[in-house]
Amino acid sequence: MSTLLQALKPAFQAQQNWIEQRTSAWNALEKSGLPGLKDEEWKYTSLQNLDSQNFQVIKNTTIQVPGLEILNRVDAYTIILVNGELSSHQLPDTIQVSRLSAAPESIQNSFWNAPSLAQQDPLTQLNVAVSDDPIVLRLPAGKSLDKPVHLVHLLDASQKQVFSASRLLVHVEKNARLSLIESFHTFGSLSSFSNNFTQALLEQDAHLSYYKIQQDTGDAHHVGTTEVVHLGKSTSHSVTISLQGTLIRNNFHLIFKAPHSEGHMYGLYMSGGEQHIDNHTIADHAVPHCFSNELYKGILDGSSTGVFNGKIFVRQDAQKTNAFQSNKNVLLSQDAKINTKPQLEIFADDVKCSHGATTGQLDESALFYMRARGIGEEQAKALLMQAFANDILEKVEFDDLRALLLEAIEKRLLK
Amino acid sequence: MLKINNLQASVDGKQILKGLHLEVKAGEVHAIMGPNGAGKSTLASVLAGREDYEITGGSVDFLGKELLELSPEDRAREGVFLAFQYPVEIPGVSTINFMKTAVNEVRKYRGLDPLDAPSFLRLMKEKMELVEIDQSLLKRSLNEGFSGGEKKRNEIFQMAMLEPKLAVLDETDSGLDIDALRIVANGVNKLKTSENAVIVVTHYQRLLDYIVPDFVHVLYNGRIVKTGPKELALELEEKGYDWIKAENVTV
Repeated sequence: MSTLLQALKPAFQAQQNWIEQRTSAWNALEKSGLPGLKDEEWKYTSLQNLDSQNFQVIKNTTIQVPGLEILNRVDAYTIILVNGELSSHQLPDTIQVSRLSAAPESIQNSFWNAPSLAQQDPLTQLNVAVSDDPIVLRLPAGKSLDKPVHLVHLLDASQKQVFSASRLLVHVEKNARLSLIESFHTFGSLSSFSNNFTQALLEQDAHLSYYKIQQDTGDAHHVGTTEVVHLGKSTSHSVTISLQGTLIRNNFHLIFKAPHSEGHMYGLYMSGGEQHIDNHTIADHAVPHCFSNELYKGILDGSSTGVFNGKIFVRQDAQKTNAFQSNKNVLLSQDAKINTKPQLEIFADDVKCSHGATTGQLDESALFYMRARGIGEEQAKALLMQAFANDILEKVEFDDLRALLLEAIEKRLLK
Repeated sequence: MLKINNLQASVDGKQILKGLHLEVKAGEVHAIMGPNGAGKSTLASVLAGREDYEITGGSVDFLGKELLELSPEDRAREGVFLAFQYPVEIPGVSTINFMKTAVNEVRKYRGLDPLDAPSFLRLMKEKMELVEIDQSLLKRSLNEGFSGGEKKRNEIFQMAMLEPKLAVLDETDSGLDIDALRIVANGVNKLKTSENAVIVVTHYQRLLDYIVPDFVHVLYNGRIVKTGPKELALELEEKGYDWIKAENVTV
């Protein structure tokens, strides 16, 4: 058995609830082991280095948060998780937060029966087996909040290499609107590995805006899955921004179960040094008249690698589907590398689908034009890259969050 | 101000400039005319520092400095401005943001503090009026979707903002109708002082009706083969370039 699974087995065995689900997930995981490069879904992302490290589950920590900028600057209701454990939250009464075990049975059932494309994924199985009692966020029918909810994942890697798994279930009821931010932060000089699973269920006329922000400091590893399920006719808007981290794998699934639903997926990744950032997305159209729109952009420097894999499924009944996908990359160095793969599987005949992927270097004529106006080469490159990234940043609906990200990107570009 | 001495340049191994001499003093307007392929645009590009060209000989003294040894940005900061024949479209960067960066980079080089937002806006307003350009255009992505006339007007606006000592206008008249030509030329004339100089590179005489040169040079086969007063431009317009070519075959 892999080092990682061996180290985490006690965490699985210590779990008190959902034994049946956890056991079946763990057994499947134990049987398959961690995925290797021969696994089609993990062809370009190796977990070997991760597996050789001595990650541990560390509970009951108290962390001194050293001036987390995003908390100071982004106006939001917060939920703080430390090493995967719920630490504190500041939420208005409008939204309900609880543990799954304490939620009404109907809610429990709706989550265990929720459509998912992640059941076969070994890292999701890992999450199901070892994560604590899931956190349930529920926004009742007709409600909306004046601010986003910000789920802050803190990992304390100051003493030991830390592993954390957390699971979040979000229920946006009829005609309710929710904005949710998840951000990830590691403290300490050792490495961390966060393994997260977020499922959001959207009822009739609901709307979800979802942000996943990775500004991990230090040696952070992350494998996480987000699934947005359009159970009723509903809309979603999601932005995944990955700026830091040693190894990142984001799975993002858009699942359409009700006609006339609409989902937008945006992503921006910037990598340098030895970083590895992998975005695997799926838009699954099982019903007619839905619209999915996807744009992911990447800026890769140093000897970093990126992966983009975008699947669009249009199943037989999903006539009149509109599905668009685009992935654009800029390579800033000789050694940076991107593996991009669109994958369309269309079984309906009356659909509009398109996909495109581009990878290029900086536009030399644009650079010269800027330099001829007195703008230095580095500054000119930064301006061009900022413009490139801006297509995604402008999809961030909150001015404070957008400004923070813009600054982080500027700083990065002008290193 | 500018002394070009025996300048030789090639692109892809092909010799374009073959020993070009030119002297420009403050307060002067020079026109460089010549048939297609004579090396006019090469000269403009070489002065601005485009890296596609290889300098194979000669020197360019600009206010006591060897221009050819400076990076494109440092040439601009020293006061050389090239109005592009084909201004580049840059999606996602507004002209305002672009100019703010450029103006402040130039100021930094000259040891000045960056302009604050109100001062920058004031400067911009003033220059916008000068070149008759609309603010809505400047808020858009640089040159993206601009008409030919709008692009050239934007070049002159940038020139007004940067207040260069030497402006090189590379075929600024190409693709302009007569009204746009007049507006662009007016802008250039308003910016003209006894302290700065302009080199107008053009194939046709019509721009010189509006920007009146002190000297007209004929560039042919990589060298300046004839220099005269503004009337030379009219003569060229009337007779074409064939007599120049014929003259230079016999020489």
